[in-house]
Amino acid sequence: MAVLKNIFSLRIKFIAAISVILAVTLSLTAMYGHRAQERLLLESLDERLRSLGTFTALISPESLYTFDITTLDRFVEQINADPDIRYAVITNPVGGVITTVRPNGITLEDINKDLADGPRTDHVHLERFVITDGGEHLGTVVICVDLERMQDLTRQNLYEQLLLYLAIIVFLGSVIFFVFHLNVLRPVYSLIAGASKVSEGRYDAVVPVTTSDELGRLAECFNYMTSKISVEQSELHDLNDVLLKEIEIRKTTEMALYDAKEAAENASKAKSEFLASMSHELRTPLNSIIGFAEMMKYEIKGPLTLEYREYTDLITCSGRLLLETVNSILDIAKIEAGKFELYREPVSMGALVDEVVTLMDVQAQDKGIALKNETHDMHCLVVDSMRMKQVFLNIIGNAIKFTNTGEVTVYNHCNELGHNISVTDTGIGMSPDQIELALKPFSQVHGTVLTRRFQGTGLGLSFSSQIMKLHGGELTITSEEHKGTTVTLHFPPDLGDDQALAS
Amino acid sequence: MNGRNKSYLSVCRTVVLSAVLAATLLTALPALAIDALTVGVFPRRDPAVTMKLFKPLRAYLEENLGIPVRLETAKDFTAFEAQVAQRRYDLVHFNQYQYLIANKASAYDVLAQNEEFGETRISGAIYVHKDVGITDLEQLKGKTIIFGGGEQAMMSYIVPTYLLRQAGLNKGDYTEQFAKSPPNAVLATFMRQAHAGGAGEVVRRLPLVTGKIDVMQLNLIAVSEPLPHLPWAVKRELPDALKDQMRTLLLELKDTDAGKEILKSAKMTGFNPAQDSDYDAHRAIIEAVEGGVD
Repeated sequence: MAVLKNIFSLRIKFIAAISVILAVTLSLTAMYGHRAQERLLLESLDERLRSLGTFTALISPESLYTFDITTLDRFVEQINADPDIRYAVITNPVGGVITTVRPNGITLEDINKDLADGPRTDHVHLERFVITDGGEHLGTVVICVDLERMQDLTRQNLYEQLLLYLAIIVFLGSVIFFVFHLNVLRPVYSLIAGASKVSEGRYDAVVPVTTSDELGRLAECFNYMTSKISVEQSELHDLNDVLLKEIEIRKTTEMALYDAKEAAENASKAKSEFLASMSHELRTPLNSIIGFAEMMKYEIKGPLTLEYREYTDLITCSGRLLLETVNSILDIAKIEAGKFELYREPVSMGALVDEVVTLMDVQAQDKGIALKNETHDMHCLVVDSMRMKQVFLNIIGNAIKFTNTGEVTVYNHCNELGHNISVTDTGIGMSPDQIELALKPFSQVHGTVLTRRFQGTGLGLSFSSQIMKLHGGELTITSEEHKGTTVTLHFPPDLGDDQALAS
Repeated sequence: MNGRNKSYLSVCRTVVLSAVLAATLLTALPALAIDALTVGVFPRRDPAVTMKLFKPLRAYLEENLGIPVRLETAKDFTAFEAQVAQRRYDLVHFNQYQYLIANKASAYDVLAQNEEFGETRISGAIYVHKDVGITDLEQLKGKTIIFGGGEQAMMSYIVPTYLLRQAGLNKGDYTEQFAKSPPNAVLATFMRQAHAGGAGEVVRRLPLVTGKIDVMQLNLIAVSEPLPHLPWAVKRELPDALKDQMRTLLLELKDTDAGKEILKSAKMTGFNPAQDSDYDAHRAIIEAVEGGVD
């Protein structure tokens, strides 16, 4: 794979491309030069031939007349001196060879055969120049041209040219590769090395900027990028340290919070247990007080004076109020301690509401306001009837308590989310902040001002909300100051028990 | 006799001897009374070649004769013979035929003769190519025969023609053609430009020929008797002393290394003494062929 990678490397590709381009170009040039040289040599040879042949034919007549073969031989020798000429002869008019000189290796028989049959090879040509004098045919100068030497020469030249071009290819290729290496490959390799370092996480890698071209700008961008990454990496590292410290702190805090929560829960539990215990301890003497006060009120052991009778009424009333408070505290404490238990049963909510409205109607009449029950077609719900009655007593009582004029209306409505029973009044109303405060135990919105005006422990709404939550439902308050308040009890659909209601 | 007397006698003897020598020289001067010597060489070869071959001989003669020596030739036999007829040359190298004419018509006497290839005599011959299939002279009837030089060529025309006549072939029985020179006649024969060729027998041994053709492919179907070689002749009126001096100078050449070099340059191996009667045989042949030297 490494070898294949090397084969397809930029360097090898470039060398291959340059070599191919140079080789093809120079080979074509060499071939063209070879052809041109061959053509020139042929033209030159043809010119020489014509010159020699014509001239010899021109000067030969006298020698032919006198059979001056020695002179004719000299003419022929002059022609034969040309290396491209295989042989030259002068023949008489009937074609018989007159001259005696012949280059080595060529016999008279060879010449006669050539003259009779033509040359035997493609590279040999016969050129004839007729010798005449006054129109009389005296003979012929026959020149046999051998192109083989010329072809050998041009072939040799071609080889030499190819060798020269090979040297030029190597030289030019080396120069081009050197320039390419200097200007392209080296910067690219530097970038690769830099990128490799970056991939290994060494963001301090710096690539040398050796050129001012695109690669140079790329190197500058790379350096800028790595420096930026380095800085950001450093900042990230610092942030990471900070985060780690933060996490450490948060873990510590969480542990502290967890401990605090544990402590608070333990404290709350202890408080609830304490309150439960205390409530129980308080209820026993309170029941005794109330019992004995009622015995006195009913004068079982003898008549009381009017004044004492009023005193016993006060004792009974205060005792009952105190008992109610203690019970409420006990219930809330149980809820918070997780020990409050519901006794669910199918309850006809219409009957329950009717009962509560009937009970509270006297109180409403006492204040001169109307208490209207506009519920209808109420479902039978599986709830703790006693606690639910407490809830209705609380919220209807509160409505009557904080309504001076107007009316208190109980109505119901159902939707796909469940069953809703609302108690709305035309009382003093609450602000949103007061609504939130009203749902906290021992808080009464109008406590500071109204506690004295409106009796109560401030536990009612909180208790009711907790009861609704225990049933899986919810208590919500909407109110507008000086216009009135609506408290809605929402029961989830699964509390419905139509079958029970039907039975 | 004292020493003074001896010295006096010695001076007197020197003066007398000098006077005798001066008188001798003064007596001889009329006999050498020419301003310059003109040497003519017949155009046996190309004129330029001829001038080159005999240039050392000219210098040799000039140096030893003490007078300017001018070397001349002609472009062909006709031109040469015309010069001879005008008696332009003092010392002339002829062929045998030309000599006989000049001897008779222009008063030239033979002085010496050539020695070539160590031979003092030369034969005329009839050449044929082996492949032609001619083996005797009679077969040449109706054929073409090429002769070297021209009708004045002794060894290349007259003697071969004499041989043909001897064989019964008369003029018209064959076609005559003439090559520029005897070697060319042999070369033409070899190249079968004719059925036979007439030339001196020595021609087949000339490097000019042996360097070009395989002479073994040539047959000599007739060879004449050996005849005296090419002559050198002088004007008859030249002083005898000069003639003798020139003869001596020529004959002495083969005795020295320097002389041999001169001979070698002239394609010769020596000069030999000759007299007019040596060429009677040639006269007879010419008589037979051409009806005499006229």
